[in-house]
Amino acid sequence: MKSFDEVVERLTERLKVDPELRAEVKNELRGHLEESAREFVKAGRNEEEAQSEAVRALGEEKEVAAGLWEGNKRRVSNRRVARWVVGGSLVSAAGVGTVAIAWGAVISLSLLLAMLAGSQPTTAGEVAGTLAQRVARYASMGREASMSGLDRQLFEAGNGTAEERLEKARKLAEEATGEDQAIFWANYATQALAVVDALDDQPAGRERLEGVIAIMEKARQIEPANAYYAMVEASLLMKASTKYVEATEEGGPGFDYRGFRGKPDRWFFDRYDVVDAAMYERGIAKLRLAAQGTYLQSHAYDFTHRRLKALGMATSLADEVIGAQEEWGTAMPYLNVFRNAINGTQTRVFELAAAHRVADAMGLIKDECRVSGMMAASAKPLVEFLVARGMYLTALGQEAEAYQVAGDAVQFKRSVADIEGAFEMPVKTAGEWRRVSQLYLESGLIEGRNYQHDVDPPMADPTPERRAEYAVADQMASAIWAGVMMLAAARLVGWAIWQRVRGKVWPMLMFIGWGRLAWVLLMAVVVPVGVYVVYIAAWPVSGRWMGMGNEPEHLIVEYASVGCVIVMLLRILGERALMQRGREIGHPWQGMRAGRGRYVLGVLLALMVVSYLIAWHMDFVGYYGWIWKQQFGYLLATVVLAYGVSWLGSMGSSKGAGEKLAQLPSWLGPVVVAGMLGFVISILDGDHSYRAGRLMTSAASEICLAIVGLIGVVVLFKWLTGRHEPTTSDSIGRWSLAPVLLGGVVVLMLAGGMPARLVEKREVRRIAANGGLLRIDREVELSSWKGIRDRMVAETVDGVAIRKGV
Amino acid sequence: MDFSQDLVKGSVVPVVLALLRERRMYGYEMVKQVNARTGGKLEWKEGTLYPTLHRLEGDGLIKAEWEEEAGRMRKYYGITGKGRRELERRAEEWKAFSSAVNVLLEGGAQ
Repeated sequence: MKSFDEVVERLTERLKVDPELRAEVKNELRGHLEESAREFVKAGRNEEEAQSEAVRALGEEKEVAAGLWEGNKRRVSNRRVARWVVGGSLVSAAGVGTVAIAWGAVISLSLLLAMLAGSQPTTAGEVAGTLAQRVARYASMGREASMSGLDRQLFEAGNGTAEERLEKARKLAEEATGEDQAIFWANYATQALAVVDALDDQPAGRERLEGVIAIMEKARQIEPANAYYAMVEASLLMKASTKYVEATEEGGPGFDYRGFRGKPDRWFFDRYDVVDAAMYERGIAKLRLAAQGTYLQSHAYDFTHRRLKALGMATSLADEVIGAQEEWGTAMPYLNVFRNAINGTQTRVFELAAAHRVADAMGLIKDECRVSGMMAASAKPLVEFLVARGMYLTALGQEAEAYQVAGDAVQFKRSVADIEGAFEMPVKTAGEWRRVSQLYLESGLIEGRNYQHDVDPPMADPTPERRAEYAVADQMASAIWAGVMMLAAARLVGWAIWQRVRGKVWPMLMFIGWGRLAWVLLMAVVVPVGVYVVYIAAWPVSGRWMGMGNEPEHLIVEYASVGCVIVMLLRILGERALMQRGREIGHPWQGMRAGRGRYVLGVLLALMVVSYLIAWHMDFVGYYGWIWKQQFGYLLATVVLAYGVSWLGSMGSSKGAGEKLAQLPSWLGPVVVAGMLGFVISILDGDHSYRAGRLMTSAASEICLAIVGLIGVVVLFKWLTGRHEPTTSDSIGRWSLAPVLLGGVVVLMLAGGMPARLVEKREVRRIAANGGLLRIDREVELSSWKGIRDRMVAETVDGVAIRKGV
Repeated sequence: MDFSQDLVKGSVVPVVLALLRERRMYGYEMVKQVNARTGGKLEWKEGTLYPTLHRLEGDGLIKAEWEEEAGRMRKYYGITGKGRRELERRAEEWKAFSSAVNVLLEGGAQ
């Protein structure tokens, strides 16, 4: 008897060029013949007769075979073209990508080596060759590397110790011309102040003080109307000539008033006893001189922007962050010092009041107010304004106390009412400011150093060499990744070709169909990434203020989780689709089902991730718990990644849990080692790698990710090239699932970061359009204080409402 | 009366489309339906059905879906919008053609 298998085999002989299509047609014909034979049996034939009748009813064999080929040949050729187009374009895209990225790395490395060797390549083209776009980009880096004298000096001016910066500032100031003169001299004066201020707790040598005053005097000649220099001098002289005595609660000068939110409070005055009368007189004289200026400008921001201008347009968030750090790092040592002038003056004010020379006392207070007002008028960051306002309020306190000491009850009452009015600070505004400050602290961008005057040397070095170095690190990492992917693809194709050469059957690659493919991609990639994008965009939930990816340990947990979910869903849904397709073409396949334990572990990990993110967001551990956050974040991300990788590997046989467990150590070990490595590196602190902005741990996170991903690829190789019988239905599943999972590895690495990077890109454009990261913030802050500032400036500088000294 | 093979062959496409316009069917079901409804007059060689189905599927006139029934996988075909339009066109063509031939065969007109 003819078996149906043989018949359908012969009928579909010409379709063998497309094993999958042939299998499907065979399955359909076999089903038809079986059903037909059953009908004949029902009609009373015996089984053998029934089978023969069924085959006969099909028609002349040759005719049917030819018909099947005719009916399908167009589909066969369409499918072949599609396979080549998809396969070919993927391989060539990977090839082009690898070459391009690796080329970029070579260029960057060459530039860096050339710069380190002291020579400066005149054009990047000399090093790089062609590839227009890359060359264009690196040519600009080449220009930075060979930056002309002044721009280069400007870069370097921000680096080094306080002493080194002072020396660089001196050179810049002495060689400055035109508009630069005022800015560079102001910078020189500020850097000199920073040196004195750094010695704050030690007895500052008089010689050194006089040296700084001499610098201020020179700078004042460049800009005589600027009150800045005289005010710095006054502050230094008063500080050096007085001795601070802390206020005692009882018996000291002071008065009762209603302060913030109308709360009853008492104003105490510390004492500043004069220890060097001559120097103190000089200090008072300088304060009066400062008040005769028409404006107060430290030029600190002008100088920073002058540096940033030389750096060129920001083209990435990294550039923007470097710029922001430069702004935050702008040294404003005078903020702390100016208070000395106001506090020191107090001693003289009270002396005059006690001697009933109230008008003279008010004259001094008027000068204090005027200086504060000028400072407020030109304040750029909020902190500068707040210090000015603090000085102003202190002067108002001195005024009230002076009237009390002089025994003028009416003026005293009015003066206290003035103070109480000044404390009517809008609560909303204060809250806003705290929120902004808190967000900056949480962002990790500025490590809480924003309002301190002893700013460390910039955390990110914007000099060309370092930028080239960052670029090299980045390019290298990308090139290695693309290379690994290429190797994986080559290995896959090479294996298939080798099988063919050896005369074995070409393993069948199943296509699950466009509909199912779309469904798998939608559910496994688009939906999770979409949910993640929404999460990022909802910044109050995600904590991603301004779309900045700047908390690496937080981000790496997110990326690992998104990648893990994607790989898991790809595996589960992809496998389900393949099993279905396998049944359709008559190759039932069991798949590699995961045990219940794996799902339970997944749920546990998900709970841990959610808890971690909530804890991170609520800041349970406080700002200083960042080490905990970091350590735990890295460990959690590593475990999540390992779990994701486990979905790439074999699910094990269905024989029992023991066997599954036995398979774990082969990949779990390296993954854990990789995680630990990343963890250790993060503790040791890389201090560079520009990508995430905070710069501290992102290099470690990249290495960690790369190693874990690499292990994923190795596991995949092992799985693919292990025990292999290409004709069994099991191998069909393997080979068909391989491209999906290979894609999964890439997705694991990239999908997490992609939406965040897209958001970042948009933010960079927005930020750039608004003139810079901090400028947005500064304007938000200062605009909410605008009313108070305008009133204060009107009362002090414009003189419209000035009553002091009348 | 048996129809000539040429006529039978020419009718496969419109008959398949007409059947599928009613509901989705699998190959063997279509054969049975045709036999039952025509009282066995339109006897298809079963083997000619599948090449036609595959060609129509490739042309997008019909759409196939596998379904599991009582442990057996069956490939069901259903008509598409494009298939419906094609059927209408063919039906009109057939009517016009047969009336033209009828006129000649019955010696009318002129």
